[in-house]
Amino acid sequence: MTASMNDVLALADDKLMLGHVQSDWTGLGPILEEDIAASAMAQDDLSHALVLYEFLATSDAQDGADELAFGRAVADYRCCDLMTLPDDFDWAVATSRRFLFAHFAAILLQDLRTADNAELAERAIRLQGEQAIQTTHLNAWMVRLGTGGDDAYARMQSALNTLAPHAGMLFEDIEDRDDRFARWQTAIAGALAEAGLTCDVDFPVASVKGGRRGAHAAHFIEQHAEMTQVRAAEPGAAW
Amino acid sequence: MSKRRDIMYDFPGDLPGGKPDDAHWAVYTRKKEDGPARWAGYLDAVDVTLALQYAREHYGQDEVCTGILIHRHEALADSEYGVDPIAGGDASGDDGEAWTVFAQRRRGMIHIEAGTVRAPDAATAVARARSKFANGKVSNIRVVREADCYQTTPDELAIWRNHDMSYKLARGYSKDVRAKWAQFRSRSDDDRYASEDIKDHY
Repeated sequence: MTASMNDVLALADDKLMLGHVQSDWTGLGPILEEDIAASAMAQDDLSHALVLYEFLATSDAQDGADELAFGRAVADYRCCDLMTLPDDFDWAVATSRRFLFAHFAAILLQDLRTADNAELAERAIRLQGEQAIQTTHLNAWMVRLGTGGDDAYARMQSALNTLAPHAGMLFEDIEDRDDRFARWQTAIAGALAEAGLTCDVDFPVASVKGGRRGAHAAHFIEQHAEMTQVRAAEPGAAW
Repeated sequence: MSKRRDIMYDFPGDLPGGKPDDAHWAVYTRKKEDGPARWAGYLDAVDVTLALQYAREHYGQDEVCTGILIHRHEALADSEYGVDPIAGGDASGDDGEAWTVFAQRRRGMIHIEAGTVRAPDAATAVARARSKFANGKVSNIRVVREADCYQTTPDELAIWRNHDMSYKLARGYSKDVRAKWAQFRSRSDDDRYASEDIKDHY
């Protein structure tokens, strides 16, 4: 398939932002082992963003990976604002968001494996394995928490209800979005059904402009400002 | 620190108690599919599914790993730890259940899977394992019932992080940044020297 550079950038931006947001949980996870696992996944996301930015920087003769990650104007980021939606340190929201996004990322990486560009395909294959760890892990936790008693179930369903209106925007302005949306719904349906949870996500309407087209929410702008603070203090610093 | 961490949250009610249902699991990894399981570390998890999941994530990514073996900590029985190699003994027999044997070559080194013995109970398993594997060359023998050992399956291999991981390692400061730091520290030293010199002078 012919890979859309816009899709690659969207995925990289998603992973960059979610990696930063999820890193906030380091040291605050509900149990030690999960704290470590969630932090490792946040590191994975940041690493995956780097791999994709490096590809974009070399293939499109763009600025370096760091410049792509930290040097762009807010409107030039193509991430979905689901990534920076405040979770208020609610573990149910954080887990559910990662679950919804991990399956989306897995589908994009699956498609990028067959990209015409061999370099991109090789990178996608490399990342897909780690993405599978995330989906496996998060599927298991969705089921554990969904079936973990009335309180856990209520928290998880409430989290999904909070996220569902924003989750459809993952599919704003990406290639083959009808097909990918259908595959994503199938991908998340198994774990949700086993957990007894529901997540009714609407396909985004074209008239609603969101993060994929550069119209970002205030929480993205705040996160971006914090994330680029060091870069702004020392423009052009090499690390 | 993230600004988001500045937010103080109030959680109603008492904090939950400990984790009485958590079990302590021992983890071993294999570098090669047909290679021995080598001691990797411990983790806590409520059941075997979660324990294998965490084992893959915590111990399957630090180095090439083709398989993982875990058992609950209390499932093991072992010989004494010798400063010198322990004696082998002459226990023999092949009745009873199968036990996986791990041997530690020298005190302080890791336990590595050595093979199996059959025995009706843990004490007999240790004795037979000593006889079969000690040979005056190991400092400790550990046995675990095979039925208490849980392993990943070959179809899970696709998810190991067993590729080049260098891209996710933290990178050091470049020469430019190091030079800036050196310049900054030097300037700071000069300022302090001047300040103290003036104070002493007057």
